[in-house]
Amino acid sequence: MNEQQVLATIVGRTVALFPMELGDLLVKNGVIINSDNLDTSALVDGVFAGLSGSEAFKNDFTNLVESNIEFI
Amino acid sequence: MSTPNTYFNPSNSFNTSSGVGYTFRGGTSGTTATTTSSGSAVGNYFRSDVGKQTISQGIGAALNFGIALFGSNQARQDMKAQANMIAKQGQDALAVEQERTRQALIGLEGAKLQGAGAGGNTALYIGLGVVGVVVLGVVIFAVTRRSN
Repeated sequence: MNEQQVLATIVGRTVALFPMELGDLLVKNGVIINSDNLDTSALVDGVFAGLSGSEAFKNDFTNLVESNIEFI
Repeated sequence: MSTPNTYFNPSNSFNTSSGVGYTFRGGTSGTTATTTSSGSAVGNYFRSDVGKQTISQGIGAALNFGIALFGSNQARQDMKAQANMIAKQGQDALAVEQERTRQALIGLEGAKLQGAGAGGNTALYIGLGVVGVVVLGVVIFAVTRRSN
């Protein structure tokens, strides 16, 4: 598994397990402005957008993953 | 080796060839194989060793490596597609587990009701026994008194 696949796995599992938390993080960091009715695809898009465009979101996302690594 | 969980076998999801040796319960990719037949579908799916592997590498490093590949639009699309697929599989796994839990709860409720029913019958039988003894006593008393 290369790094690309590792990241896709982490993002996919985090979206599956923590959709509400991710929605909150995306809103908090200004990646999206409304987390209501976010579907899986929208969350995945938002996470990748956040990871590539927001250092704050990247830190928050890393913290979320690290603190829940047992489940991911 | 036990049969991998076909629903959530991550090795079905990735074409892995790097030989890094990521290990999955219920399936394997790379060079290391660890399987287990126990545990729930969700457990098999989510409790893989991806997390442990990335901890040892550093999640930040994994993220940075992955993000570095964003440069290619195709790479980004591939990652999104893969993440989407994994997320949907995970949600399906959760839904299956929720349904199993719901069914188990229904079973427990049924068993509980049956238990309560059995307790109620026991009390009924004891009550009938007591009434029978009392009636019998009254009859014996009446007969004895009449014969005197």
